[in-house]
Formats: sequence, C-alpha cells, structure tokens
Amino acid sequence: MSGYLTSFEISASGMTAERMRLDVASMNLANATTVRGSGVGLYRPLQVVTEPASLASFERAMAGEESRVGVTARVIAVDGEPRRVHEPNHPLADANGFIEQPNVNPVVEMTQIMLAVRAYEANVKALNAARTMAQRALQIGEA
Amino acid sequence: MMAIEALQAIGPTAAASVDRAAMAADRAQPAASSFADWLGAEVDNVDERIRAADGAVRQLALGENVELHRVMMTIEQARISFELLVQVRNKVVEAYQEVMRMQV
Repeated sequence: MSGYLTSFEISASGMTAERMRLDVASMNLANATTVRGSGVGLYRPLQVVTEPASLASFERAMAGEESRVGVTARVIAVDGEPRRVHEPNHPLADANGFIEQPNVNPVVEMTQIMLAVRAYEANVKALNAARTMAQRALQIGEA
Repeated sequence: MMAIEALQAIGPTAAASVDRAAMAADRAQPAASSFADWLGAEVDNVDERIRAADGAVRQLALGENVELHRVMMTIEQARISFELLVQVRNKVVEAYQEVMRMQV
C-alpha cells in the first residue's frame, strides 16, 4: 500500500468511523424511551471512541511499507444515572409510580448525527481530492 | 565560463543521484527486469483490481455486509489503475508510430 492508495485507505477509515458514529446515535435515539424489560437490563447509552494511528505507522505507509493508517473506532457503553419519569399507569412503574429510562439526551444525539454527516462529507472530499490528484498525474504529458 | 563551471560542479552529483535512483528502482523490482515483464505484471494488477471492484459490487447487490464507501473506493482504484494502463499503452503506441514515421 503506497501512493494514492494510502490516501484512499485513510479516508475510508474515517468514513467507517463516522458511519459508526451515526449508527450509534440512531441506536441511542431509538432506545431513548425504552424501559427495563423482562430479563433485559436498562439500555446503556453507547458512545463511539476513535483512536488515531501512530505517527510511526503513518510514516511506514508513506514509505510504501505495509501499515495500518487512519483512525480506528470502537463502541463503548457508558453508565449514567437513569432518567426517572413519573408514569403511574405504566406496567413497570415502581411503588411511587416512577419508571426508569436510559440517560439519552436527544439534543446531544442530534448533534452527533450532524457531526457525523459533516465529517463523512469531509472524508469524501479528501478522497475525491486524492482521486483528482491521481487523475491529474495521469494527464502529465498530454497536450 | 561561469555557467560551464556551475554545470561541471553539478555534473557528478546529478550522475550520482541518477545512479542511486536506478539502483533504487532495481531494488524495488528485482523480478521485473524488462519493460514487457513490468507491463505484463501491471496488466495482471489492473485485472485484479477490476475483479475486486466487480466482487465488491456483487457483494453489495447481494445485500452482504459491505460498506458503500469501500465499494466506491474499490471502483475508483480499478478505474485509476486502468487509466494508468491506458496512458502507458498510448505512450507505447505513440513511440511506435514515431519510429515508423522515421525516414530511412
């Protein structure tokens, strides 16, 4: 892996991470109003953690050696104080008429979605720039 | 006079750097010694890329778990390597025609 393929690989890893961010935000939003089910605990909000590649691996990739570049993303579940909602008629309500819902903030999740879409766009731009560079290089020597 | 001296000064350096570049090229491709070998390997390479793009599109169409941007990236890689091959072919044909036009 060397040359323009490295740029492609870096952009692709960014896009994979942003897709994961979008999936996680959707997952959190979809589960925002769920309650503790039978046998299933309360939903724990998910969060994407991205880790950068080391400078050394980037330099190896630039030198044309096999190396993993770009970001790696993984998903973690975060614990938070559950939201207590007063709903006395709910079948799962406790003695005081409260149910517990996961600590998901819809505003934060919407911001995450916008962030993911914009960052994805930026990665596509970078990939297209790499592609344009390669195509310009192929035009060298043309009239 | 001054220009010639300047040229003499850079002469050996330039030659040395060309030697180094040639040696680096030799090291990089020990097996592919001739242009024909290189071209053959490159055709295989492009064929491989096009097959990869084909496979990625097929996987996507079959609804397998493959990311859309990976598919697009594979297609672009295939396209760029094919364009490189076409450019090399154009240059070879151009050189051939240039030789054929030569007055003997």
